[in-house]
Amino acid sequence: MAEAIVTRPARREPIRFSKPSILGVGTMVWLGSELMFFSGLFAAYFTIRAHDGSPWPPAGIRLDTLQSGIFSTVLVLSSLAMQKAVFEAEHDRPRSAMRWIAITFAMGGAFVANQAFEWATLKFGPQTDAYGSLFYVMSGVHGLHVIVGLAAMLLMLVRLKGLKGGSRHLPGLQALSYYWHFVDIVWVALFACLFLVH
Amino acid sequence: MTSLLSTEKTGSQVEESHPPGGFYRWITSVDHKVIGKNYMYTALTFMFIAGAMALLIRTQLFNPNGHVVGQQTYNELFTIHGSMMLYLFAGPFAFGGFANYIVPLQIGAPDMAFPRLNNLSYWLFLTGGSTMLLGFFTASGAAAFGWVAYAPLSSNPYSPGPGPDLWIVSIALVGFSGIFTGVNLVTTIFYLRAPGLTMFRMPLFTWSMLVTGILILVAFPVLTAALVMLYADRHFGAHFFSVQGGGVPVMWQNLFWFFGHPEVYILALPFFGIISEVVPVFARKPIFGYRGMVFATLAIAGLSTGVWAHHMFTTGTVLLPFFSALSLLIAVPTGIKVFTWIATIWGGQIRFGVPMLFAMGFIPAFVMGGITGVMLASPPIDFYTHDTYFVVAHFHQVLIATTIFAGFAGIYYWYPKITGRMLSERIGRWNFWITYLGFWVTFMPQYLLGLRGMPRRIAVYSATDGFTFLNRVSTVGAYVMAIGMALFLVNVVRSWRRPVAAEDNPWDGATLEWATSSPPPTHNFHSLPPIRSARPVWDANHPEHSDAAPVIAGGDESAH
Amino acid sequence: MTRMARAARAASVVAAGLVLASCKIPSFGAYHGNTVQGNSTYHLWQGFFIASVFVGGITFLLLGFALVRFRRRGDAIPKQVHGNTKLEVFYTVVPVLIVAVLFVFTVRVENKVDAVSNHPNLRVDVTAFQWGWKFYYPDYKVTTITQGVGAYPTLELPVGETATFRLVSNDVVHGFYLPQFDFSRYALPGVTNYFDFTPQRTASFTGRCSQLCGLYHAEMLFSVHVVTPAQFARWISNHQESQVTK
Ligand code: HEA
Ligand code: HEA
Ligand code: CUA
Ligand SMILES: [Cu+2]
Repeated sequence: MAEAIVTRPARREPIRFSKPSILGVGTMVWLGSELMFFSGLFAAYFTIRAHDGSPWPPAGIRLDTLQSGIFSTVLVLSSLAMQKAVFEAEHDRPRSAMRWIAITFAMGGAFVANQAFEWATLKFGPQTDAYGSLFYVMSGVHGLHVIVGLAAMLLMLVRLKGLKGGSRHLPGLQALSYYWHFVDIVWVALFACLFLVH
Repeated sequence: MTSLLSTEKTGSQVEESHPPGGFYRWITSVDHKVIGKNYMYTALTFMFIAGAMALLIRTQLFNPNGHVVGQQTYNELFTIHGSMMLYLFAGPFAFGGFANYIVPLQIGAPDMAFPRLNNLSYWLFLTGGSTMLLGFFTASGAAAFGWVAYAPLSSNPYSPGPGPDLWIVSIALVGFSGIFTGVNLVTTIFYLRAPGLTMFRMPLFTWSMLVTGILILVAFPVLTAALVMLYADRHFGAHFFSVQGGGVPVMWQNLFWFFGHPEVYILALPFFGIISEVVPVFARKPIFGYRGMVFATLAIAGLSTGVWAHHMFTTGTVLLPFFSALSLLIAVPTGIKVFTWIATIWGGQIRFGVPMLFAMGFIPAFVMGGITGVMLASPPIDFYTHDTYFVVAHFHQVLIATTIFAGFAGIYYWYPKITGRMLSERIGRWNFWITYLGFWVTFMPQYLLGLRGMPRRIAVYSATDGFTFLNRVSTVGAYVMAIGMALFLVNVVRSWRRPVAAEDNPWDGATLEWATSSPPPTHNFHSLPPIRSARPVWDANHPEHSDAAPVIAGGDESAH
Repeated sequence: MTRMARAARAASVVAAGLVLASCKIPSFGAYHGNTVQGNSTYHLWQGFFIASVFVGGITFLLLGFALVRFRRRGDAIPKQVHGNTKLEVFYTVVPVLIVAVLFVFTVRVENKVDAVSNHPNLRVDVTAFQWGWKFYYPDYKVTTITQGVGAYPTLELPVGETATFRLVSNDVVHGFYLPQFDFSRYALPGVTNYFDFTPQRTASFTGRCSQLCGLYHAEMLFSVHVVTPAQFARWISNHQESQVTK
């Protein structure tokens, strides 16, 4: 019988800039399922729209597209800040990475604050009609995703604090950045559907 | 056999996989083997509970105008029976149980990619499952709108009360559990394969689980989205599924079945994988056409996302020829699998151990159910049989063939590995034959009932309908089946009271899980054989019949 | 070449089975479909059944033969065969051909069953609700409706005449199911469905609700009477009178 070789695959991968970490792979796989979740909502949106013969959004729905547009831009730009944070961490500059995470946090926070303000002042609710239902559920679950991202950033900051080398948390930060980019891209599509398309 | 592959065996090795510390350590364990076992115990418990509900259902239908339970209770019973069997037994049993336990072993990994996430999955599953049962203890009863929860019946005006809400929450939690396990397994398979184990050397069981995982990630989130909308309709006055506010009721059916049809293959594929492990080992041949099987698995998964509206032929709102054609086409890759299994035993030396018995019982049962599925895929025939007992018979045949027969094949096959003990072959044979007999007696009459016009989900029928005799036969069959299932419990209890130690590789298995001890140590492997084919353990044990190409000295990829 | 020939032969056997599906062939448990539409469904069913016996039979024979012939005879290790591309292609292509034939017949029958006449002899508007039915004959302004549990409404149809049905639901999803017509169709809130029946023989039977619609789903029945045109006319005028006097 041939020789048997003891192999125990390494659990913790060394830092690699080219190949994503196991956490990164896991995050991407999971984001695939998130994509399907939002696809379900978009499917509902287009189904209901197709069935509704009348103008869209229905009469009586008034949205401040400009204000939302500004905060949407802020959210999209926060992706760049997040990427900068990853870049800093990759080059072993945890302090700077933390600063950029904080900036991202502030931008995301501004977005959520605006959304809360919007919800409080809008003249229609989820019970008004199917458009209202779509608006609140779609922007609501997206807002929840943003909040989860913000919480993860706080956690990241706590973890990075007091560390000499940020590299130990690099996979986590990279995974967080995938998530954040995803949340931003989804918002672009949502914004187009809920605010722009008539 | 080499001493490197087999370790000494002691009766107390069962303890080795539970680190000391008792119950607390056990429930907080992140070891995939402990979690896998927890999944199996829990899922099987749900199966027996749901099976007991099935017996109540059958008892109610024994007589016309039965009054064993009231109509409301009856509706709750089949709703929870179906939901529990599909969401809490079949899926978690295969995907949380077998996959969790076996896949890391088969790919030579020390654990899953994310052990703590794995533990979370299990707790979400247990919490979700218990939540569903809680419905029975609320004043207005459990959910009573069928496992498919068609809107608007499932929305507030027609199904008020906490029971339906508990059902929604339960499915959502179990869905998250499935998604997390899916992420975990897919990542594990991509990332943690042992050196030398290329994708096309992976055991077919692992392949099935990979594809199932992907299918879960595609299908379940859509259900979650639908549940969010349903919940919003129920509690925030939203109008997704109500005509009055501009919503579209039939949208529920589209969203649900976009999940629901892949779901039935999520249930079937893992069990196909089990059959693909058991059949070659017991025929002592390699699987016939490995690549064809991989292709067929992928084709089934791909097609299954495009056939959902075959559950909606009678709505009059879907494109019939398209969905009919794709549904019919699924027979082709499924047929490839069936013929592959037959070709694998062809020319073999078939040993009829209990796992093989269940596997061979699986094939006719599944083919029968699959062929009636093909009939249903023809819209005119479906107009006739939709929502009748013909459909009930179809899906029980495929579901029980896969989850029960192939499931038992898997249990009997891996039980020695998992527990370090053998199950009794004699009781196992009775377990098989009685369950099998009961199965055919229960479900064949239901086809005829369907053709005679008996709708499903009815608590009562009239004596003049002509359904009585066939219903009685079916009920008797269900009780026979229950006796057969009870024998499984007897067998397990026996192995527990009077253990018979299992060897490391009692069936002459070919894949890596048989290269470690029974049960495996916490880190799974002390050593791995070289992997030069899809059957590394076979190559090691039968060098003269090995699959692997001859080794050129010094030029071996797994020597590093 | 021989492979293709065998495939073609297999396909033609199935096709022949479908074509031969005349009334001489047993019903295999199904109703004959007491309408022109339902009858073509019935013939399709016969064809599918024969094809299934053929496919299932071959599968079971192969399996049974292998199980008996290749059961364990000793400890020798059998020849390790890893596959055979020709055979694999064969058992992929043949099922494709079979389902293609099944599909062609399906589409033909489907077109017949789903056709809605431009000039029906009769129109019936069906409304489903929890837990009953309303049948309205707009040409005659006659209505029959569920009057409570056990008091089922009647759907009266003249034999040989094409009736176009208009089906809606007032609340949840119901299934308008006539077993002896080999047909059902959902009554969906927000959707209107149309279909035709041309009854072939006089008969009486029970119609049902097939889709779960809540507590009394099991008792959402109605009576179907297929009668001669003369009887139908009499029934209509009786009802017109009683509705006027009411
Ligand atoms: C394990 C689960 C499972 C599996 C594998 C299948 C497999 C199939 N099912 Fe089934 N099905 C269900 C579970 C499953 N189903 C459930 C739960 C429901 C009811 C849900 C509800 O309403 O509650 C349902 C309902 C259902 C319907 C809707 C019926 C109705 O409500 O009116 C239809 C219609 O097309 C259908 C079709 C099929 C087809 C075509 C297959 C095919 O995949 C089968 C393919 C297999 C074979 C054909 C046999 C082997 C092949 C050969 C031997 C090759 C040669 C064969 C030919 C050339 C024909 N199924
Ligand atoms: C994997 C899935 C699965 C399995 C295994 C089963 C197993 C069984 N089912 Fe189930 N069934 C469904 C999935 C399943 N079912 C689904 C999805 C529905 C549709 C629901 C809906 O309409 O929404 C359904 C509906 C359904 C109906 C139709 C109800 C109706 O429409 O009115 C019937 C009726 O006969 C039935 C019967 C049975 C029987 C007799 C078994 C038997 O095989 C059960 C055998 C097992 C046992 C009998 C367990 C053994 C019990 C003991 C040993 C003793 C008791 C133990 C304890 C109390 C712990 N089922
Ligand atoms: Cu109406 Cu069931
Ligand atoms: Cu399906």
